[in-house]
Amino acid sequence: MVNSTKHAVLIFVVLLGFLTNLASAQELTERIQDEIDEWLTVGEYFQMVNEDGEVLMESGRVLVEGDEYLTSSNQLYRVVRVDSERNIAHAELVDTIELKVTPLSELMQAAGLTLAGSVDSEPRGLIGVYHTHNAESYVPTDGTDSIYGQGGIHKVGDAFAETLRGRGIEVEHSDNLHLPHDRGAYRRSRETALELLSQNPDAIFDIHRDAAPRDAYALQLEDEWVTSVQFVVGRQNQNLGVNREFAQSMKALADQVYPGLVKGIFFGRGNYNQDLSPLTMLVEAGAHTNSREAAEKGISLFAEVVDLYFYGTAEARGTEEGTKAGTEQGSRAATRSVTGLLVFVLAGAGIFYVINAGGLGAAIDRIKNLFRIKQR
Amino acid sequence: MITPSVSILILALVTAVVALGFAERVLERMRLSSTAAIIVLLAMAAAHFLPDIEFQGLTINLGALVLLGIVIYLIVTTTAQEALRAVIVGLITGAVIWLTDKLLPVDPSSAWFSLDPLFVGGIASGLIAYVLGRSRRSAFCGAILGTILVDLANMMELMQAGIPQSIHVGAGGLLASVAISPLIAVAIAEGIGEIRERLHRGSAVPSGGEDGE
Repeated sequence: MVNSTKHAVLIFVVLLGFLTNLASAQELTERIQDEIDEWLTVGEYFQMVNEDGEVLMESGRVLVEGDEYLTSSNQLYRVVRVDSERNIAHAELVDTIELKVTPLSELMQAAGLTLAGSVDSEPRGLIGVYHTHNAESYVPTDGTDSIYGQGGIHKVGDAFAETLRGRGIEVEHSDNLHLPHDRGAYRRSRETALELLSQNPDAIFDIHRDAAPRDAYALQLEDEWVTSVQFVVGRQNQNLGVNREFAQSMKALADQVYPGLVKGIFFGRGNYNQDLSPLTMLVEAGAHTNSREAAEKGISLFAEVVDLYFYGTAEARGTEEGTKAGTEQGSRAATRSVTGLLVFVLAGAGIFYVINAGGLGAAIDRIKNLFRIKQR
Repeated sequence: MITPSVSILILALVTAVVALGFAERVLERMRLSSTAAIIVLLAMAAAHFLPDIEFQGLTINLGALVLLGIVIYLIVTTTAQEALRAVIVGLITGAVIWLTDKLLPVDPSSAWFSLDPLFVGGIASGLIAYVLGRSRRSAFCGAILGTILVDLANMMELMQAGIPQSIHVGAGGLLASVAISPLIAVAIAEGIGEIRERLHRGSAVPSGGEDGE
């Protein structure tokens, strides 16, 4: 014990020395991150290409095998091979999906929630908005891709919130900072997401911007240039089934109202705090190469789609006109979610039982004894 | 208004009972009586709904203060050696979280390391506490201290940069990293101990920490 304590003290002194010199530590970590980060250096992009070499999407995010992407034309691709030297991810077509707007009531049912109150009498609810990566900014208008503090993304969030408020929706737009911009940002923003969820919102949106070439997000609607938006769904979360349905429904509705506004849905690793609630969404509003004004216009159009989905048409609200396909999709998602939750509960109960029994052996003995008694 | 369905409410209730049962068991291992453990858990749950305390850019949830109170109680009521070990585990855990935050990819969905940053503190504390003396108490205290220390380090870094950011500690109540980490840490220290004990059963009596594991 004495030796281990000595070693621990030595390690601690070395670490303390490292920590006290934050400036050089920051410099060192930035250098190391450049080497291993899954975001490329500004100006470099990863391309996802299909079997014919057509570019499906471009992003500053390093793509890995297993990542999936639903294109604007609803073709679902999965990355099968990655050429790290050339930053190219080769993807194969998995399926062409006929997207349906799963009515909100079906989605609620899938998530184990119900809508209380009638459609007509229900006042418009609360939407939560926050930004995990506060520093994200837009080069053409903000002058830089990152502002250490409230970056341009906060103004894009303001535009989203204002459009919703203008349509009579209550919005809680959190300006909580989750800096520094490191791996702990999602851990810190988890607190913000939980704060927002405690106010019982209908949905919460974590708004980001991508790192991609300008053309990847530029969209001309009539005579106006805006940026499109992209959804990101984390595959490592127990709400994946409902999250996926939610994202696909929003895209389906957006496709009807503003074709092309939702450029695609990226299914990546991680959970992006989407494990906290089934109706959470990560939205990429343009890229750092687009102007902030274009991103503000794009996200405002998306806000109209959010309004329509949650409080708008009868179809989206899930009255008697709710589609059969939507119901079936909702049921499948519900089965997946409830099964996942059941497995989690059973695993928890099992661990608790083993600890309570005083060990694995004792737990097995207890179960054996139980059967012996029954046999007698 | 959205309300949970009855089946999900029942399922959530069962989950909460199992989680609280596990948490109570962990606190009992910290030599708290069963009644004290239940009071602590109820206090944490209740404190979550009380307003946060704001002080010099630090926003602390009262639930997190309850946990910090337990850590201080555990450190004060144990031997000097065990207290030192708990503090060292806390410092090293804090350093591990801080370094993984800084050195590993920003996005938790990294290709080669996809462990959620939420669990790093608990896992690190459990492993370190086991290596330094197989102590559940050190694992528990280290996880809480380490998580809070990283928040303080971030606050200092932002103060240096002149960023007026309020650091939130324990705002998520029982779902916050400061509350989840000690449970993971004790489970790991306990789990490794159990496995090792089974591997060595009959050959030698493992040397344990002050808390007797």
